[in-house]
Amino acid sequence: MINYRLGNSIKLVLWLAGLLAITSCQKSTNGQASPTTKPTNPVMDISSSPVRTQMDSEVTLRVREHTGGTVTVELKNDTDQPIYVSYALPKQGNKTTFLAYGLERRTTTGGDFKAYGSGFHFVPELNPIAPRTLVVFQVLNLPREKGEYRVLVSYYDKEDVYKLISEKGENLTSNDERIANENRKTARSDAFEVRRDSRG
Amino acid sequence: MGPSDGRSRSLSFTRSGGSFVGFRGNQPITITTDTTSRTSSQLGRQLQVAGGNPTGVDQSGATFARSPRNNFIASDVASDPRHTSMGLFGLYVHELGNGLGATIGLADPFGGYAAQNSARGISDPDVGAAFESCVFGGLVGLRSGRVGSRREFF
Repeated sequence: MINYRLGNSIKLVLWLAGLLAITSCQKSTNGQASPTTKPTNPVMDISSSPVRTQMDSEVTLRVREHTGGTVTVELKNDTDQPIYVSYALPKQGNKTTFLAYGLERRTTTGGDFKAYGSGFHFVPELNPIAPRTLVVFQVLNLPREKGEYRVLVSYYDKEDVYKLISEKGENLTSNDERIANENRKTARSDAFEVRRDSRG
Repeated sequence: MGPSDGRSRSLSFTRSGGSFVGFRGNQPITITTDTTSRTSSQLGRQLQVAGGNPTGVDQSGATFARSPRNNFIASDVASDPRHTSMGLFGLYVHELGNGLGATIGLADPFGGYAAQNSARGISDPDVGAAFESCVFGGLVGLRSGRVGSRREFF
């Protein structure tokens, strides 16, 4: 009887230790210096993708470095499957010369972030970012208007949608566009600040 | 002038469309610009689908990397009587530059000209902006025709 209780206690301790390990692992995955990153929702993906747990379903975007004139950003695919992003494949390492991004600026009243700038109208095709890898890129030509900004990147995590877009390009039907729109996800970075207004 | 076999280069643009024929060595390069089939809103959405315009803002022109030999100027921009012919020609030269940059395989036609363009106050980092600046000295304003760092579209 004592042995039986002891065995159960050991099991309980092991179970709690396991739970603690999982929790701390989740924190280290999710709790990078980017509180505004958007986790993918595993519930949304169950219909046509392999079931993923909360722990392995993170795509994060964070400002890695912000010096006076440059902002370097890291897009991390911490999931078990590739994601597809418009970026130029790096010649070596994980730093790309160009990754398509958008900017948002906090409204002057200190409220929400709103779309900022004119975006890009000439971008690379969608390319995969392998599971558990990251790509580093720079914000080109920082905004000159003083304010608080954040970076956003669109991505797809379903291979069939990636193939549809890659094959049809700008000739997608309205139904194809609907499928793309329903499956496109967005990662947002933490905010960075432009302190000085340098508009001409 | 073109190759010695008599073929010639050409460039034409009207509000109804544009075409360019050039040669790289003996190989012809043709870039066609469509100015009638897509609005600025549609181009913005299509670029958003392509992953390149996350906020989905309207775009006056677009070149898609998958098919750079056929690019676009938004139909509502091309047909707007407030937009000067010179301003539209500047936009055409811009998209032509992007089409050529991708077609001939520049190392980074998308963002590789950021510093060069920024020196002129232009935030657009692509080769098209550099090409337009090379031809005109900057971006040509759609409404005023003036050369500067903005196109007066937004």
